[in-house]
Amino acid sequence: MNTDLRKKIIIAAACLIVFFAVVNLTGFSDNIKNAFYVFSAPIQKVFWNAGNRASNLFETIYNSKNLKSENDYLKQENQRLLAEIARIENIRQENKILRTVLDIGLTENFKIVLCDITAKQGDFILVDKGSDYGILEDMPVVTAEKIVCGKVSKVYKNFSQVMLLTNKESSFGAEIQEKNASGLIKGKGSGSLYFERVSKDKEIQERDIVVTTSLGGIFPKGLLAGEIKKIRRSDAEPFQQAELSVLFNLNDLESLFIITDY
Amino acid sequence: MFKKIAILVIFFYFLTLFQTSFLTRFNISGYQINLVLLSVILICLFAPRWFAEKDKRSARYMGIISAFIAGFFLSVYSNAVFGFEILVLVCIAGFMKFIIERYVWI
Repeated sequence: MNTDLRKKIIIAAACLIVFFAVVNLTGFSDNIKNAFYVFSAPIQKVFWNAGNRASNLFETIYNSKNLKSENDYLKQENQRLLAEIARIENIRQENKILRTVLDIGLTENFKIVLCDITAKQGDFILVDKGSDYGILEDMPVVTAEKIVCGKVSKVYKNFSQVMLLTNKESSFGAEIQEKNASGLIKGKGSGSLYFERVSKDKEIQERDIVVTTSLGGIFPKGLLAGEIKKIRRSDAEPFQQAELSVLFNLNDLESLFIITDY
Repeated sequence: MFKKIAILVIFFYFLTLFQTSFLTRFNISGYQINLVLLSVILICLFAPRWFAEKDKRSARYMGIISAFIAGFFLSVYSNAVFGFEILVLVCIAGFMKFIIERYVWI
């Protein structure tokens, strides 16, 4: 390589480094990203929906061998849920009567903004509502079933980046309400989630449902966070921990809700 | 040369959208195939041979130009510092160019 060309390459590289440093430091990168997201959203929507259909097809083919056992399991689960519904219906009636007697108002509703998922990268997703809709960082993101998915980690003008619960940097207070067992839910990356720092004297079991607490001020109390899959107890550790199943499946979701006020 | 760069820009733009929207559903044990990185590596490996006859300059720099374009689009959809992916991919392409020119087929 001759000296002139080498000089040109070094100057070009230096200019690029300065350019990207300025773009990052001034926050102009957010404008560039937002412009790309706006421009690409319609194409990404097409890819996202196509991905949905393709993954459903592959999933059906992959799961076809387990259909019988899954069907039996679902029948049992259905019977259990019917019994549960009957029990809850009784409680609802009782609650209604008590509310009337005590003159308590309806449960407080959240202020929500509906958003669509446009992209996913690792344990982050991109949704199509941003600061234009009053979205701020750290706002909770939930599904229609009030299952918590994560929190807004970065806000652009028309889009927001959501950090999923499973991200390594995600950590928040949670509890199993009926057992009064509180702890921390921590993401471990690649879709795995753990319920940690649970006192050893609390009897937690597989399939217990873990819900959020208002500790930390990010999530409202009582949102569904996960289901206990596997419990790990060790004599050497002062606390017990459990692996959680994530209750939401991004492949089945197109829309989410950002809670803007609670 | 400019026509080739325009084609690369369009190719990597759509590939990045495909990567971040379609391929996110398909992973093996939580790991997702990175088609953009794979394409850059393939271009670095085979561009010297494809263009060696017609356009010597394209042959030498197509890998690094591809890495820059692909890195830019990946940066847009990444959570890291803007430009980090460009740096990583250009370093990979530069290293491959060095090895290929010195030890393989040019």
